[in-house]
Amino acid sequence: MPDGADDGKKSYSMGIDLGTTYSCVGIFKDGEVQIIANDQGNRTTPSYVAWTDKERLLGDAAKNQVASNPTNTVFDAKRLIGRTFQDPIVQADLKLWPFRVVSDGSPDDKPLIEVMYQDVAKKFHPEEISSMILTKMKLTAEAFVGQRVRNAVITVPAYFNDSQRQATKDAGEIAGLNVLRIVNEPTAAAIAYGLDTKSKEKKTKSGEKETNILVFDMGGGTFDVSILTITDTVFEVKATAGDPHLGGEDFDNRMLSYCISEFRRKHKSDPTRNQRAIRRLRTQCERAKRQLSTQTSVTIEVDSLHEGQDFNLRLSRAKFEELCMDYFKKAMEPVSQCLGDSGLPKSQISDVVLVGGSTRIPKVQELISSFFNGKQLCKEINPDEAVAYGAAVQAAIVSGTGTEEVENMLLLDVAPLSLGIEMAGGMMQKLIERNSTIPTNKSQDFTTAEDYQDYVEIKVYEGERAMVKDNNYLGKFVLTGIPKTLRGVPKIKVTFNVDSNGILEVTAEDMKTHRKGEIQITNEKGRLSQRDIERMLQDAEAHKEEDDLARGEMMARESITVYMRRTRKALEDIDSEKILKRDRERLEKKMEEVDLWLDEHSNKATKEEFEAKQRELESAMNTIMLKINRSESDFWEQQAILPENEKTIEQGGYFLDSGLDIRDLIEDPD
Amino acid sequence: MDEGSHYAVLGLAVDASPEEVRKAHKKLALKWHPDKVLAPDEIALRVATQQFQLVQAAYEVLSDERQRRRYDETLGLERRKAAKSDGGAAASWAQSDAVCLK
Repeated sequence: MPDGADDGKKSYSMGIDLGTTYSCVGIFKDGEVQIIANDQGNRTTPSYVAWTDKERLLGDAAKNQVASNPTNTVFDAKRLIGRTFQDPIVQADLKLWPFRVVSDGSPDDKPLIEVMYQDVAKKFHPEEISSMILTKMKLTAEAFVGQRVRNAVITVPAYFNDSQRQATKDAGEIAGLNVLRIVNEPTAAAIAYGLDTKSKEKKTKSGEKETNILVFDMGGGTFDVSILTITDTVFEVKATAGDPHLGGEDFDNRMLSYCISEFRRKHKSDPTRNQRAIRRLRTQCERAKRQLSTQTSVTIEVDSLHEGQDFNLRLSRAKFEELCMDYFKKAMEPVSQCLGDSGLPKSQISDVVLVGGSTRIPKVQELISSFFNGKQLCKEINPDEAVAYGAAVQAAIVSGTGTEEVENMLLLDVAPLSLGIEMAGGMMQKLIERNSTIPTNKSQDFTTAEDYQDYVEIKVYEGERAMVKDNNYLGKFVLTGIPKTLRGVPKIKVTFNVDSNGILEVTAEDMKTHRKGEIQITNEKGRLSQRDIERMLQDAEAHKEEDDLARGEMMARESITVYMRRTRKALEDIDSEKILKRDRERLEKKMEEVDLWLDEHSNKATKEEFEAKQRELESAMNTIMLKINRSESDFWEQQAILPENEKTIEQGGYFLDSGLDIRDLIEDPD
Repeated sequence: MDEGSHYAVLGLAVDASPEEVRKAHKKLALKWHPDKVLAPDEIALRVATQQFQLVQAAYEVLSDERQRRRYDETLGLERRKAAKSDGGAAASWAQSDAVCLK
């Protein structure tokens, strides 16, 4: 990040929680963290990208049209990122996704997502999909601070492996971001918790106090547990564990399967191949799941789901719990493991902090609480926003743009998995143990196994098992030019370097010749090459222009639609005696005309055409309004308090067809 | 005590209490963690990272009672420690060791 320092100084840095199902962005501004609402007013944005005939949609706009466009609406990129196509998890997910995923056919076996855009099949890497979501979050932040924001801290599940972290960082680069840091989600959440508690305790307690907390972070797609020790301003991660594929979506899928089987049983027909039906049903399952966190039973209803048959099912909370119980129980394993790794007894954990939407599920809370012998859980921090909040603080720490309090803060994070190389016989030789504080660096000397061997192949793995075949392969490189001699004589120093992002770099050096050769690790799995990234960056920028155009059109179309709606409402509300028949007819005719025009052109008109049509409407409306409002009263006042996008007449929209300023007319009516 | 020893890295005496080890680590981690390098040119970052890793390695050993004992053995510190009568938790085993030596 060489350019980060220059433009990082006065500019803002944001924290982005790039979630499986939802994303959230925060920024440290004026001494505090602001979680930023998107253009729809939502503080979290669906991690969805969709392609329609005409444009690319991001976030809410993409998710809202998913039922009508299931095959071209992409989500769950986080479940693909950094994995291979043949990964069993990808193969299992494939069956549930309405969009197409294929292999890139190369030896790397990278997955590609295929969509149809303007009658052409387009293929995207998961990194590209994630980069589009990051771009959306970036735009949200930029709209809030009113300037460009390039520097970002992006969060990943603590249990993400090296490939997944690399790929997430690549996604940031493709989005044109300067990725300051990849931070673990539970660690970020712990910052939010730490600051929250600190501000409350400020008055009562002073001096240093050591607190151990456990963060239980279960979101839409991933699950993490971390144990941290907080001493004043230092947050030290003691241990972390988790499951990178466990979360709310798995519960949705369980409910979905159950609903499908119920439908089959009742109607003797199978909706499985009906993508639209499945999507509609899934949406209702997700909604029902949320409701079951506060209600004890819900009805899942979908009209005309499949072959004209309605779907209707009463589902109790108990049934939901039964459907997902194995998942809930599975989530307790990493909790014990993490505790064991931290070396702390349960009694030393002073707070259990819940993060992520799935921790709202009563059964999940009950299981954690009883694991800690009935302990009260900490639900003080917002489970949807805590990660972005902490990421924003970390962004301020790293970029030095925070307050004094933030400057004194320090995060000591760990590597979630052991890292090592393959030894003769297929054994794993660990160089870095899991839960080592990062950045870390370990070296070890190795030698040759055979006489006159003049090269060594260094294969790098991550994982806890004894044999490398049971661990995750990261990549390999070959060190050549070793002077030929008897086995056991050469001394080859292998160094593992894990940076603050948890990303690994491996080097090897022949201590006799000091030859390092080509030692950059070539991640054969998952990782994009620098060339790939540059190409995608260009693609993304080309797309941006298209997007800007499309966004302009979309806003203009939205504006005229809102205007039409409000005009119709106004016409109903206005006392009919006050309007001249001629004026009313003129307006109604105009509206009818615009309605027809919209039907025909709304998919191909330009921004300017939409705006011109809106001006025509406005002038017809204004004629009426200024006759009613003999004094400059109600109407303008009402307009002033309406939100910007609901104003029927924009500022500056005072001119009529004739070029007259209506404000002049108001002062001197008729 | 060797200049490069874990004690020297943390600026501690060989009989430092666990509390002192913790405090020294915190102070130095705040100083050397690469996040705290405000003008991140390559050299400053590299120096800070190396320093941080030294601090961290020292802390890992000295904050764990068993590892610290083993480390002290390699430094040949038992005798010197035994000579001191104050010393808290760490010294109790050293004294028992010293008994054996006599």
